[in-house]
Amino acid sequence: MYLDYHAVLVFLITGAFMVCTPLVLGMLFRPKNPYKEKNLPYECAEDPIGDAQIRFDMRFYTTALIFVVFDAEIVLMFPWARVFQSAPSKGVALVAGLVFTTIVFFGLIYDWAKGDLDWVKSFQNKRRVQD
Amino acid sequence: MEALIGLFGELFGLEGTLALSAAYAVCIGSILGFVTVYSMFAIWMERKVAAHIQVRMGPMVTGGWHGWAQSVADAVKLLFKEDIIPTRANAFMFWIAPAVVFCGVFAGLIVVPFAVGVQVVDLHLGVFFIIAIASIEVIGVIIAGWASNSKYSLFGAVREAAQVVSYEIPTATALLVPILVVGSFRLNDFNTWQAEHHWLIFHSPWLAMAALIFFISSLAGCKRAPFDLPEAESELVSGFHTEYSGMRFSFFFLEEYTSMFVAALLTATLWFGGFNLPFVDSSAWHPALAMPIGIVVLLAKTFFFIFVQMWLRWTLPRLRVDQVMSMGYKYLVPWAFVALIATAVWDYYGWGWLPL
Repeated sequence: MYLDYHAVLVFLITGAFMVCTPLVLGMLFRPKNPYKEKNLPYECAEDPIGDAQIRFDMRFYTTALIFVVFDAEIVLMFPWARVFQSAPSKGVALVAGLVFTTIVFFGLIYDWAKGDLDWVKSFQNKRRVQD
Repeated sequence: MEALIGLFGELFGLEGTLALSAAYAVCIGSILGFVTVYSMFAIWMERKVAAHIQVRMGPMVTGGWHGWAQSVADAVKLLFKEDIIPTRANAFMFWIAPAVVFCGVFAGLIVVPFAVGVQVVDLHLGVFFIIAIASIEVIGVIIAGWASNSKYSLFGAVREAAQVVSYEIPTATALLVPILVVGSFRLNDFNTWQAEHHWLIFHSPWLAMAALIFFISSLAGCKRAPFDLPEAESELVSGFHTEYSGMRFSFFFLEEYTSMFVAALLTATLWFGGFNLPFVDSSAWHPALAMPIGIVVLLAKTFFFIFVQMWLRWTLPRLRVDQVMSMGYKYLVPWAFVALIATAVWDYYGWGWLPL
């Protein structure tokens, strides 16, 4: 049964191969005429200023953190959903699922109330308190 | 694939590794052919749908009948295009990004049950495997955006990372709902269950809600409008693949259309009966009859959902970044949880819904 997974490896390799083949084949036909301006990063015909590989806004960091927490939680829910129908006692399974989901749900509400789910975190209220 | 190995054994007397390789060759060939033909057709269809929604005709010249050969001509043209790698880009990362993006979705197709027995392998983790392997694509997009060393690409890649990653939570939660009812990860078990009982969309209102949540969040997962922020032509030129040209660029499109197919197919298989016809019991049919009908039925359902995806693309305006994030976390995630728990309660009390 677990040997079935060799197909995954075979198809991953074939996928990569399929991407490479037209690229290599294309080398025979396609023109190759690079010059300085063509090889600049595209910025609407302006000379790009500075590098694009810079430090980036940390808002995405919060999103990533929330994602990791929730994804781990989803992974834990998968076996529960799988065995729910065949559980020896459905009541116990239901209560276990309910308790687990409630805890996660409170986590979501906490994040929401804290403003971590907002793209632009609002500090307006805090400022008012300080004034 | 077991059937193919058996067939090769009977017909040509192949055994062991030889039979396995022959079966692989057939499977790989058919999946590759399917992906290529499907994406050409889908691109042509997208243009036609877009055109007719905007009261235009779309491609009409190439190939004669309604411009059917337009995508073929495009593919040939892309092969002849210069392959530009910007000087500032990290060449190796730039080079492997399309392969990483494409591999995941391509490998995801192996568990797809097209009809009775028409499936490469019936992995016992089918559904889980599809969402796991489809998320490899995000890594490829981030590599592409970062390695391009262009600001548009960086913005596109970071948006894609935030968006696809957030929408994976409602997608997976919505997928848990039919898994909970059927009690299996195998995609084939969903087909058998729905053939024996009824389509899961009619099982309870929560299943219908889960289907809607899955469809919306899979749109975001495929970067389709109204969630096409990573590409956002009007603001980011073309997002993470701004620097890509020719064949390399086309692989990003191949991936997008293939993942659309996988999303539409999951909707059709998990909620809309898979390859089963409505009101007709096909379980006793001869395989020679059930197989082509199954393929046609499943593809018809899948193409209906692909059509809906295109329809939405040309109807709805694009959301803002903050709207996308709040849509995911504040609406879809809580409602997906509600659907999951409500289904468990519904199932515990054994309530019915429609007299089906």
